[in-house]
Formats: sequence, structure tokens, C-alpha cells
Amino acid sequence: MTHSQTQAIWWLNALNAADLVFWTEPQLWEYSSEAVLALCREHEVLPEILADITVPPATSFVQMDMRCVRPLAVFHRSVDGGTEVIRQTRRATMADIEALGDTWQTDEGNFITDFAQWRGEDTLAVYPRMRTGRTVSLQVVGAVLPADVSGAAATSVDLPEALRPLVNLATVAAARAHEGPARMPEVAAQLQQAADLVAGVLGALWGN
Amino acid sequence: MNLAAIKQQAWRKLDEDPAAPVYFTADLMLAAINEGLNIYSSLTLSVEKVVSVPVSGTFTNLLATIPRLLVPLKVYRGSTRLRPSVIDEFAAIDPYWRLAAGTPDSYAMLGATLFVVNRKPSSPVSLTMTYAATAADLASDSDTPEIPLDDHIALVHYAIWKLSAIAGGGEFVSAREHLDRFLEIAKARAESNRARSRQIGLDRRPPELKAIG
Repeated sequence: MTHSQTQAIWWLNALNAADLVFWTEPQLWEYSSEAVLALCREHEVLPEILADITVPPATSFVQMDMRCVRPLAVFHRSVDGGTEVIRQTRRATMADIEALGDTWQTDEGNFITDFAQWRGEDTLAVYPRMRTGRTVSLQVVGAVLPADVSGAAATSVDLPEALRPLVNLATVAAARAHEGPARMPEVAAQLQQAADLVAGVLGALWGN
Repeated sequence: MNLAAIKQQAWRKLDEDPAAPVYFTADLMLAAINEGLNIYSSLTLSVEKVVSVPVSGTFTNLLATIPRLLVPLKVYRGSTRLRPSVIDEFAAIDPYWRLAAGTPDSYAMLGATLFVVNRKPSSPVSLTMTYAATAADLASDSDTPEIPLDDHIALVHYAIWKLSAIAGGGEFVSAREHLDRFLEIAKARAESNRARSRQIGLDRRPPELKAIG
């Protein structure tokens, strides 16, 4: 969708960005950005095939792209004997991986079979580690936070059209909740409630 | 109702002269109606469209080709229907499924946009997808919303509620009844679409609003 703050500005009783008295357009972009980021973080709606991660030998932890909030599927990739191998790994918890035995961090193999998100969001524990001399790749298909919903210059956001009402409602709600002479708590509360309803519906349709 | 009729009803209820609105301009009115239409589409999955999806690998990002996609409702390869599934099920059957060449017979969605088939087609195939969409925006007065006629009145209610937010205060608080009416209409339609979806075996149903809160 192509998003602009035009409608949010109208709902704040202004004709255009120059006519805004109590807010600035960059502030409105921040509000929009927060709404989209919250939806993507909570409901994992925006999937992306991320760049491969190199996994050298004797490695049990790898760093994911910082924008990834949750891996949806993780694939072992290697080329063995000239043949490409792509194998989906099992989703596990750290408890599952630790239950594989005290030596899980030193167990070696040719294929990564399991992964778990470790300590926060951007690190993956992988099992088993690759034997000496074997470097493979991990391909993560992850739910990501969009990179480009921020800043006053952003006018085009690569997001589904169904997000448009959520962005507009949440932006005006945040603006009307902002402390100052133009604060309207009753408007902020109702618009935010409506934005939450839309987020909940889209989360139910798209979330994992 | 066409757009002109929806606008006129909303203006009259807002005590504006439809022929010459002063406070709630035509631009504001159109924006509010289209926003209501967009939300109604997500709540009810009432707008169904059919598209041809070219698939050459296991993953296809649909964002650019179908920006108004909500969810797929049924997917066919020729006359054969693909079974809806989840990606972990593909792996449970064959962890090496990404490279298994053949004719796909199942699909999964990741998030809003990533369409996944369980086998890599040996040559590009075209799938026919019926999907729930966000209704097209209304623009000219003769445009008619792509939603059931009975529910066009919901757009009037949404517009009244949303436009009252500009003034705020007591007027907006009392306009809450219009949002409630909009949601009641959408919930009733969602319920009827859930029943219809079960009956004709669509892959997805409108979400239960009670469960969402």
C-alpha cells in the first residue's frame, strides 16, 4: 500500500502537514511506525526469506537478522558431492535441545536437524554442530519487522492493503493521546480500541 | 446503494446538507467510507476474487501481485484442488521437501504474503486461487461497494462514527452507537459466511470476533 499521513492530518483538523499545529509530520510517522511494528511483532504477519547464515564447524549458536522476530521455518543448506541439499530443521525449545543430553553443544553431525530461539529473539541454537571442516548454511524464513515504516520521507510502505485502516486509526489515536491542548482522550481510546480490533482480526487471519 | 447514496445518508445523519457539506467535506466522507469498507472486508471475508498465480518454486511472495489478499479460500491446479496445510507438515512428511520436484498437491501460507507449495514444480505452473480480498476503494458516485447490498448501511454507520472523531467530546461519545451498529452488521455477516464456508468447504473462515475480544 502507499501510505501517506494525509488522512491522519485531516482527522487532526488540519488541511495539510504545514497546517498541523500540535504535532509534526515526523511525529505522525512515528505513530504509524509503532502501530505496524506492534502488529508485526505480536502477530508475525510479515514473512521474509532472509539471507543465508553461514554456520562454520563447531558452532552451536548463530545470529539471525535483527529484524526477524520469529523464525517460521529454518532450513539446513549445503552442497554435498555437487548436489544441493535443503533440509527443513525441527522447531524445538531450548529445553528440548538440552534434553538431548549434556553433550548437545559438542555433538557433531553432517546436517543441522533442530533449532531453537535462544535467549531473546535474534539468536538461534542449532543441533548438532557441524564436524571439523564442514561449513553449511542456514536459511531462515522469518516473521520480520518492516524496515521502511519510519521517517518523514517514507510515503510508500510495502505492506498489505488491509493494514491501511489500522495505520490510520492508530496514528490518530496516538496523536489524540499525546499530552497537550489538542488531547482528546475519548477519541484516543475509541480509535485505539478499533485499531486493536483490526489488529486482532488480521492477526487471526495471518498470524502463526 | 451506490457511493452517492451512502454519502447522502451519512451527511443527513450528521446534520450536513448533502448538496453542500461544510464541516464534513466530500474527501473526509470518502476516506471514512473506504476505511469502513476495508475493515468490513477483513471482518467478514465477504469479497471473493479469483486470480491466476504463477508458481515456479516452493515459495511465492504474493504481496506485489495481490496487494488486497486477505487469505486464500481455495486453490486449484487445473481441476485438482490443493489441500491447505502448514509448512511443518510438509517437513514431517519429507524434510527434504524443498527440492522434491513434482506436482504440488498442498499449500500453506506464512504470514500475510508468503504462499508455499509442498513440491517444486519441474516447470512453472499456474494455480487458480479464489481468495478473500479487501474490497476495492470507492471513487466515483456511481461506484457500488463489493459487499452484500444488505450491509451497505454498515458503511453509513462507520462513516458517522469516524467523522465524529474529528469533533470529539460528547458528540463522539454518543456516536459510539454507530460503531457498535457497524460491528453488529459485520459480525452477523461473518457468522453467516462461517456457516457458508463450512457448507461449501472453503479453506478459511472469518475469525470469531468474540475470541478476539
